[in-house]
Amino acid sequence: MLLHVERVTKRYPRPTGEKIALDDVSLTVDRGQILGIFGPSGSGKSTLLRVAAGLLSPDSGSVIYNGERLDSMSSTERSRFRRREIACVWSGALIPDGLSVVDHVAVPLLIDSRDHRAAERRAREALLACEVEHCSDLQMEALSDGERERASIARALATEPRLLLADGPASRLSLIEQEQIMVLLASLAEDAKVAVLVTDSNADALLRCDPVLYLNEGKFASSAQPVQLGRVYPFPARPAQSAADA
Amino acid sequence: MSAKHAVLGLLQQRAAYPYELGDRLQARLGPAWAINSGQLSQTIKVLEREGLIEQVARGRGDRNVFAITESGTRELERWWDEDEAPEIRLLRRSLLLKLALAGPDQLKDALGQVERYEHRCAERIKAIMETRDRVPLDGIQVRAEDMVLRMGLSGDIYQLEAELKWARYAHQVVMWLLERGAVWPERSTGSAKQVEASRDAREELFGRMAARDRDQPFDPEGR
Repeated sequence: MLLHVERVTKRYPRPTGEKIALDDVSLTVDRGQILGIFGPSGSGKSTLLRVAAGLLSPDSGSVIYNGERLDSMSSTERSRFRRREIACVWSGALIPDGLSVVDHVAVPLLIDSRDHRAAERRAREALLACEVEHCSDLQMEALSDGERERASIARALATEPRLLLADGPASRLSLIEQEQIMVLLASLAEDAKVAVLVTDSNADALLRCDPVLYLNEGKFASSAQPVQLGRVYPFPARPAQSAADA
Repeated sequence: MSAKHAVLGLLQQRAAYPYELGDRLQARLGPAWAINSGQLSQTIKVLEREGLIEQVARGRGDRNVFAITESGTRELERWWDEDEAPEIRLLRRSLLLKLALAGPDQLKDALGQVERYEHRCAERIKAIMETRDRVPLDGIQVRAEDMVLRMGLSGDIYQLEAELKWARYAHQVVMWLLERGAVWPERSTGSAKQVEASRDAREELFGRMAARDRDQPFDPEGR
């Protein structure tokens, strides 16, 4: 397995005590797999993704990526590792004004390289692959929500990661755009063999994810038997033949 | 068709004039059970011919009283033991056909149709909800027949809600087609070529990513 989150707990200090954002949570996701997590606002989805990305250290438990423990690396080592392996899409994240779309997508590439031409070529390729190439030379703020989401995914893809963490990428989109984004992410898993972890507050949006897990108050509703889309309506036990027949 | 068993069931409870059965059904189960007098007398005729009901008193004009026979009771028992499957017939929506046949020039018109359809779904939901709200629910004693009626009306509401959900989706699709300039059949355009270019780029990029070996780090200056 590519990513293994093992019994992670994360607390945030609060004036009134502490808030347990993640309570002994485990999950694994493999290359070629797209795993969906849904749950209400405040259920711990974003915290889980930040922990999985190595951006946030858990209070206990571990994050194992391809056999290596992310949480025991030095921060420099971890940053470098993350840039090579993991990409994140934070929905509604602040995007600096004044960057063209192609520059925005090329930024992660330029951290480790000075070859601007190669970076631009890769950025344009990623934009084309995500069907927003026509926006390449616009300013980021000129894009619609759907285009911006695609550009964010293109930015994540430009570094050719093996793990993609997407926090609510479909959450502000129309139903059709939601479906299109999920089809793109599913194709990333299936065709690019990326391990994809995607969240949303609505289970219906997590089309094509398997399994779909329900996170509530920092816990999976049932860690042994994850709720799966298409099995959201559990079958009641088949009734025994009526008592009269017995 | 369930009208047959509905009539049998009511006659098992007590002998009755056929003409009152239609109203009783609708009052007890909701508007979906409205049966007009033509259908009703047809059903009565069939049931009588099959020996499942019989005339027990003669009234003036149509006012003959009918009662269930022994074989009618057996038929009701047989029906009771049958397992029920969800009775949803997939719809052939006339509106969908219109949308399928509409060309790009008719989209604005189509949007108007979809909006009116949404509106009508909502109106019907509202009307049935109002009926449901009038079914008493308070009081210490719950009346079983009130609960059954609420159950029937709720089923009608849920079915219409599903239709409304579809209509809203259809609305988004038409809006999408209006705003984005889709590729239409029989109209070869530049956007078709762009879709192809995107697909090629995706295949290449995704293929490269899939082939990425675990020990081979990403080379930002690669190629």
